[in-house]
Amino acid sequence: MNDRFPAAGADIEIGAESSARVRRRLLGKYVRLLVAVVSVPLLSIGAFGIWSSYQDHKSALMRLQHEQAEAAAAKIGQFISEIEGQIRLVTQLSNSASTTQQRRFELRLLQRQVPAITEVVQVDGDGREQLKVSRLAIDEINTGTDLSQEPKFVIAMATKVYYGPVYFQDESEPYMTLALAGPRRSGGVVIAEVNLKFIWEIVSRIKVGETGRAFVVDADGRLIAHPNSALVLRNTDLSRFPQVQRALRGDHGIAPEPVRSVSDPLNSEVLTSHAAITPPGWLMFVELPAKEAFAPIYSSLLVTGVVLFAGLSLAVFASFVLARRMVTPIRALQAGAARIGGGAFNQRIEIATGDELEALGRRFNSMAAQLEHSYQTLERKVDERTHQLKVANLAKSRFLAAASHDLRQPLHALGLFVAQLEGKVESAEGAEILVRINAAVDAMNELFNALLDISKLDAEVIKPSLTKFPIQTLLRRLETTFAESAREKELLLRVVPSTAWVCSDFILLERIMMNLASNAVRCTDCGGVVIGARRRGDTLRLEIWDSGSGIPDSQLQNIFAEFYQIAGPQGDRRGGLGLGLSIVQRLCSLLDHRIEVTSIPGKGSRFAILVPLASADVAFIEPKARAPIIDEPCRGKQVVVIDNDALVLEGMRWLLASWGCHVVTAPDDRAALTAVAKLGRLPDLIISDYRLSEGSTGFEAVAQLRSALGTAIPAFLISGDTAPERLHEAAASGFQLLHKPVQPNALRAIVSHFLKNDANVSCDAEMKI
Amino acid sequence: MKRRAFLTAFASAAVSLPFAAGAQQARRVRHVGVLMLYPESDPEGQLRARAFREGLEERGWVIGRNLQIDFHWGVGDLEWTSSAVAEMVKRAPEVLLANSAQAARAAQPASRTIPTVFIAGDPMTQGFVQSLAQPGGNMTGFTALNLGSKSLELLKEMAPPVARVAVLINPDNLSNMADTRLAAVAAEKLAVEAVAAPIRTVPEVEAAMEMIASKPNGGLIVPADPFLAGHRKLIVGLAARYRLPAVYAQRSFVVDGGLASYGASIPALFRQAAGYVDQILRGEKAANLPVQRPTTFELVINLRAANALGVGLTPQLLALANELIE
Repeated sequence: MNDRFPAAGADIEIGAESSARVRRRLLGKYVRLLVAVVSVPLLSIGAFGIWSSYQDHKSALMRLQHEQAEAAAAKIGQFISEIEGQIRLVTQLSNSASTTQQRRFELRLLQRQVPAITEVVQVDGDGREQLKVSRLAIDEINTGTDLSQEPKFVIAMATKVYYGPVYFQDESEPYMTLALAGPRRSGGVVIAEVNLKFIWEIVSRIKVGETGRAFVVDADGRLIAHPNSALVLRNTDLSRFPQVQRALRGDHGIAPEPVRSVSDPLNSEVLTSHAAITPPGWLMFVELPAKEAFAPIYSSLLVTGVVLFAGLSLAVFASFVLARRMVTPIRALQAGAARIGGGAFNQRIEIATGDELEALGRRFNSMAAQLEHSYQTLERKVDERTHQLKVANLAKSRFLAAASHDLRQPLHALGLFVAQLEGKVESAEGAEILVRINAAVDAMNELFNALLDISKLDAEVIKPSLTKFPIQTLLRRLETTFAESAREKELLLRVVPSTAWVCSDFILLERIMMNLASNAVRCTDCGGVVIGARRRGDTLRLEIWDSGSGIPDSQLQNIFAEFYQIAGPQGDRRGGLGLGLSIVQRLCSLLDHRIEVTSIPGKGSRFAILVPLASADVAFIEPKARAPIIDEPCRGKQVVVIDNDALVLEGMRWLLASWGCHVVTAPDDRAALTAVAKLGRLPDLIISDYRLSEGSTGFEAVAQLRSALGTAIPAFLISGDTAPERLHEAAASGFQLLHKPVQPNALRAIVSHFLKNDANVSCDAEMKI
Repeated sequence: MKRRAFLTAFASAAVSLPFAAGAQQARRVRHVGVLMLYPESDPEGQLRARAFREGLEERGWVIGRNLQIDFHWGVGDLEWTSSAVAEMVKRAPEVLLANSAQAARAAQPASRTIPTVFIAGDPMTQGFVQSLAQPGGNMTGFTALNLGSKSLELLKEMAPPVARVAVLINPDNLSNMADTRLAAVAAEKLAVEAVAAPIRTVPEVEAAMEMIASKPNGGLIVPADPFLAGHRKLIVGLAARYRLPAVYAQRSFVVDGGLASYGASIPALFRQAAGYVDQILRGEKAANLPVQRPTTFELVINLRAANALGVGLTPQLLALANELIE
């Protein structure tokens, strides 16, 4: 009955493992869910914010840059325009009919006003040079050089103004020719050489952020002004750069993407924009390194990132806390359910969340209370039933004991008388009858012994002593024992040898196997019996196979019951009392060996005993099979026999006398004392019946006798009483107790044993069956 | 809780790191050595030094905080300037500024390791640079232009009677020789006789002046030269004594009583040189900076000297002058 609950507990154990995984999943699930709920909008808003601010910033940057380019272009344009203005003034003055000196002065004044002009030439309407005023060289008057074919003259005359290409003087000074025509053709053209280094000053002073720069490119894509003058002097051609190409094409849209820097193409990416410097057709470029341009974006990105990260961690933390709060009552429920499932019905779940979970907890608790109640009821019922069974069992044993006791007395005497008779009969017929009588007496002895065994086992008096021994010894003895009977029935008996060692009680195990083998031989009419041993892991299966009639499945449980016998095909009883298997079952449960039965009706049966294997290292001494000791230690010894049954007394006296002992018989200890006193010598042995008249016991009788005689004379008791209490008492008292009916040979052996070592008889060696 | 604390610490550390780095870099004090032509007492020298300092300050350097300038004053011959250079080099300057060809020549050996900016004449012929556009070595700078012809023209304009002009030159100064040639060409055109007067010592100055004054209608052209500039008071005094109209190359002569000067403003060149020094300090290679010539030229006239000499100045001339000193 107890089997059921452990099984349930085992289920719960398995359940607990997976529920641990499930428990973790719930928390994780909630955490992930909450984090997702918070972080998805947070991240998406953040990302959108960053992206839109990036776009805004970029377009603002580009606008700003473009304005810077325009402003810078304006500065340069203004510079050129101012020079133009000054020159125009001079051309207008050239109208009047002025002397060369006056003209010279005007031109020199122009030079003083415009430091950028290094040289200025007055050309008349036909293209002839009239006057050249220089800062460095001597002025030349009326050289008459013909410049009529020069583009500077021609274009100036045609369009009023001429902007020459940029050229370098002495490879280090950039110059430009600026020619203006007067309002009248006759006025001619004033051609000025403008030193563009003055533009360099302006360009270097233009501030574009911290690390940006501005530079000027002419209509052919050549660099004409740059903060790094060396680049200009190398006559760098920038027309390959895409931004320059775009600008030259006239595409004045804002280019949003960073490009390679013109100034230091290997290193930086820059944002660039340009503006046109219209009078000379130049382009002003402004570039700002992308790193500086986007620095505010990057820093705001970083800040946003940090804030997002902080927000996210906060979200994770908060969701963790929240989820835990949600999950804790669920876990409490789970744990409580586990505990209740595990059998601890007195546990109660405490949940105080004030919601459905709390209600659920309360339901669990009431369920647990119900379970507890029913479990207690069940336990109580089980206890009652067990108690009843025990009582019944005990009653049965007592009945057996009581019944057998009354039967044992006469049987004991019968045995004695038969033994007496054996020496007296002479005729063959008489001898035959005697043999049959002996057989009958033997059978009855056997039966009574079996009953006694069962009582002993039920009383739990037998204690197994476990030793390690080779199973082969047992198998050999089996073979020896049953070979004869198998041959008689023309059955094949095969005992398979084995080298295994087992750990068990040799004698009890032998008894088990003997019973099983005896059954097998008895129940098999044709075929054979096989006995063998098979190793299975760390156990040894002792198997007995027979080819008998088999046991139907419906009766497999019942065969171990007492007095049960399977009815044969002819309906006859097979002999025996049907106690063999009951003894086997009890012995097996005492030794904790499992029994297995398999049977196919009509084919045969197999019985298996599972015995634990042992390692073969212990020296084993085979207990000797008990052979009766026929010896002469009895001769001349004085024995006292006490029994209240006269018949038994008579029988005992004769038997002992036939062995050579002097016998004194008495019904009780007082009579015995009187008789012994008459003898004049101390007895060597006292044999007493257990149950004497007037309620006194054999213990008391022996004790009285011993004390009266003053010595601890060796003694043992004989009893017909097989009740468990008697057995316990006997064991407790330390006296050896034989049970009636006692076989004469066995009696002789014990008597000899006592008389032989009367000096040091050990009283605590229990006699095994 | 712990996670948040860690996070804020990390974020603040990450933000403050660049500031720390930036602050670190700013604290380094840079070092510049300057070899000045004039002595410290000379106002012209002070003008130039001031222009240089201002040029650097304009570009973001704070003298005393992130920049240290060592001035080495005085006119000297080559040996003196060599020892001055050696001393200066010991203080481990990052850039050298050398005013005058002698200083530049003395600094040339040091220039192999220390970038040098010169303000001197004729760097190509002196061997400081390979070409004006691409100096090619570790020296670059600013050079003057030879205005010999224009000076003569101006002299003739101011004092038309002048028929014989002496050009005082330092024979060791190659640019002076160029000026002489230019003056000779101009003299032809202007129908004037030009005579080169080599001067190395003070007595030679007096001798040259005497020589020119010995004949009537003499004039003087004094091109730029450190020796001559160092003795300008003497030259101006002698010119006044011998009543010789003269056109000098440098304003300092006019300040000290000379009649007129036409030349580039040297302080302006110093200001521009500050730009170069700034670029070099910021990592630019001297080989990438072209040698520059002056872009502005000044006509400075001393009115008192003009009166004393009896030179009549036309209103036009007065209008054209960039500076009038009374």
